[in-house]
Order: sequence, then C-alpha cells, then structure tokens
Amino acid sequence: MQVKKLSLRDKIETLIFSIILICSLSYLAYFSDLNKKSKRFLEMLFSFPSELINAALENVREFENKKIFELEDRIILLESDIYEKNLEILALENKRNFSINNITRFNNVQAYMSGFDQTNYTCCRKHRIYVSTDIDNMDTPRAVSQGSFIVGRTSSTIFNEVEVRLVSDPEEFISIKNSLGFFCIARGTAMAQEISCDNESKTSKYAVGDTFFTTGFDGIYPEGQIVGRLIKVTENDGPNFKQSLYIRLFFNPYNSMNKQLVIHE
Amino acid sequence: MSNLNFFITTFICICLNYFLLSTNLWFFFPDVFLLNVLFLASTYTTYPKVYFFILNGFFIDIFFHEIVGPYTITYFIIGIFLTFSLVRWVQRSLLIQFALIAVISLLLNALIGALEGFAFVQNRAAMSTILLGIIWVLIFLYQRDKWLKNI
Repeated sequence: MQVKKLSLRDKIETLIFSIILICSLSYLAYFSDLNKKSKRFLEMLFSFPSELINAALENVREFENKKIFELEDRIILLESDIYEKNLEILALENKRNFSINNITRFNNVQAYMSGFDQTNYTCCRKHRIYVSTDIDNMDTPRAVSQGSFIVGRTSSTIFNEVEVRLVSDPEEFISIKNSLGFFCIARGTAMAQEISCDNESKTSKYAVGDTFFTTGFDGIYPEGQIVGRLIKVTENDGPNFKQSLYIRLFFNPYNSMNKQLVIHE
Repeated sequence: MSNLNFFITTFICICLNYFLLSTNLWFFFPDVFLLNVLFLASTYTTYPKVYFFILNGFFIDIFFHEIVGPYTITYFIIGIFLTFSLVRWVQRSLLIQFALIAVISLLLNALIGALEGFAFVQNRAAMSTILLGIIWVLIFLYQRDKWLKNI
C-alpha cells in the first residue's frame, strides 16, 4: 500500500494553488463578513434546541414546584393536625376535655394568632401576641385561650389586630388552683412560658408536677381552663414561711403562629 | 474517504466543538478537529486532496474565529504532509507520529493564541497536545497489528 508519488511539478502546482485558494477564501470571508455571519448562524442553529431544552426543563421545574407546593401545603395541614392532636393529648393527660364548647357561660369567638412580638418576648418584660378576629369592638379585656389552655387577655386593638397580653407578662395576674384545693394568684415572671405565685401557708397541698387551672375568680378567665404545670418550688429567705411556686405554661407562642385561638366574651 | 464524508465529519466536529466551547469543556478536551484528522489518517487508505483540507479548515475558521487562519493553515499543512508524503501515516514510527501530532497541535494552539490571546490557550495547548498524544498511542497500540498485516 504505497502512496501515489507526486512529481515536483505537481507539488509546486498544488502548493501555489493552495496558497491562492487560502488567499481567495480569506479575502472572500473578509469581504462578505462571512465569519460573523457563520458564527451567528451557528448560534441560531444551536439556540433552537437549547430553547426547546430550556422550555422542557422549565416545564419540568414548574411541575416540580407545583408538586412541592402541594406537598408543603399538605405538610402544613398535617403539622396543624398534629399540633391540635398534641393539644388534645395534653388536655386529656391533664384530665380535661379538649373542647371549647364546655365553657357555656361565655360567647366564644374564633381568632387566629397573626403576630408575635418575639424580640420583647425573649429579652424584655413585654409578652404580647397579636390575633386576628372578626370582633370590631374590644373595649373590655377578654380572656383568650387555645383549646383548653389559657393564653392571656386582650388589651387593645391595633389596626385590624387585637393585642393579647400573655399570662407570662409581668403585668398580668391570674387566679389559679390545683386539683388538691390550693388557690393562689399568679403573676407573670417575664420569663418565657412561666408564671409564679407565692404561698405562706404550711397546710397547702401541692407538689411539683401538679397541673393548675383557672378559678374564674378574677372575672376574666373562665373557670377550669388549664394554665400550666408546677415545675419548681423555692423557699424564700426570711423569718416567716414563704414559698414561691413556678408554673410552666402550656401555651407556647413559638408553635402557635396562625393557629386557632378562642376569645371568650 | 470521500470528500463529502470529510465535510460531513467536519460539520459534526463543528457542532461538537461548539458544544465543548459553550460548556467550557473545550479547555480540557483534545482538539476535535485534529482528532478527526487523526482518525481519517489512520482509517482510510486514500486522503482527500489538499484543497479539500483547506476548505474544511476554512469552514472551521469561519465558525469559530474572527479571521480565516488557524485551522485553514493547520489543515493546509496536514493536507500537504499527507499528500506529499512517500509513506502512509500509519507506517511511520510511533515516536515520529507523536512528535508530528505535538508539533501540529502546538502550532494550531499558537495560531489560535495569536488570534484570541495566548492566555486563552495557555493551559489548553499542553492539555490538548498531551490528550491527543495519549489517544493516538491508544489507537496505535490497538490497531498496529492490523495495519502491519495490510501494509
């Protein structure tokens, strides 16, 4: 298999014609701006499939986003269900019925927690949440609860929202009792989910772990609502017997955004 | 190889090169046009005329460069070498083949560098040359016995 041998004349001819061809092609390309046109043509040629691919990918992305949104909605619904079931379990654990209808003396209005002053809640002595409701006139303070769990009392209306002072706010007082017949007036400690009350009687019966309920004596909170659980008892210094009871509230504002609340009229 | 096939394979290579450029893989890939010529030189018994090499190089240049030059000149040299050579490409020793591939690849990258800026092909010149060499060594080792039988 040998290559065809070219004569010197053929080689020179080929070289000369090749150089002429290169020069002519260069001139042609320069004269007709062929390079730019060809580049553009190539871009257009490939832009069509890439546009198709992009459109297909966009469709796939939209479909995925739609699915994600659907799943997220479902997750939110399930979380909400779980949250309410947990409340129900908690209420049952504390031997109360998770039903807003058991408070017959009050007209209950549904509301939703629409805002939470988180900064003041964590740092300062102002524990407030905001609820959205249909009630226009909110002149008198009303109790707010979440199922069987007490939340706080309404204080004022700001724009379309009602400001609710939580029980843990240091300005808030609430009359509570346990199942053993111990009564006291508790006050917010300005700590998250915590209230405290003092006891000066040695005969009083309570123990860490006791659940406390509202007495209804304050005229604002309906009787029998669950307040919290006794977590700590401290002995105060001084000549007289005095103990401070710290009660952990069941209502947690962090978990309650957009959750249903009840305003007791 | 027929002239038409030569043009078709060059056009396929143009598409592939465009894809490589648009995905930035071009810098880490052997030059597809030189690879095409390598396959052409090692697969077919007859080569197209020099003029067709020049035309193919011209087509590549108008698609990828501002002026006609790098590929036209490189293809012209390849065409001249393959046509004027007294022995076939596959009959040469591996060392010579490797040296010629390196020279052509570096020349091509130098011409591209002269047009686009040498920083553009700084790493690619070495990378492309080495990869072309490796590919050719693999082809050579795989096909050598078959070529020897046919020679």
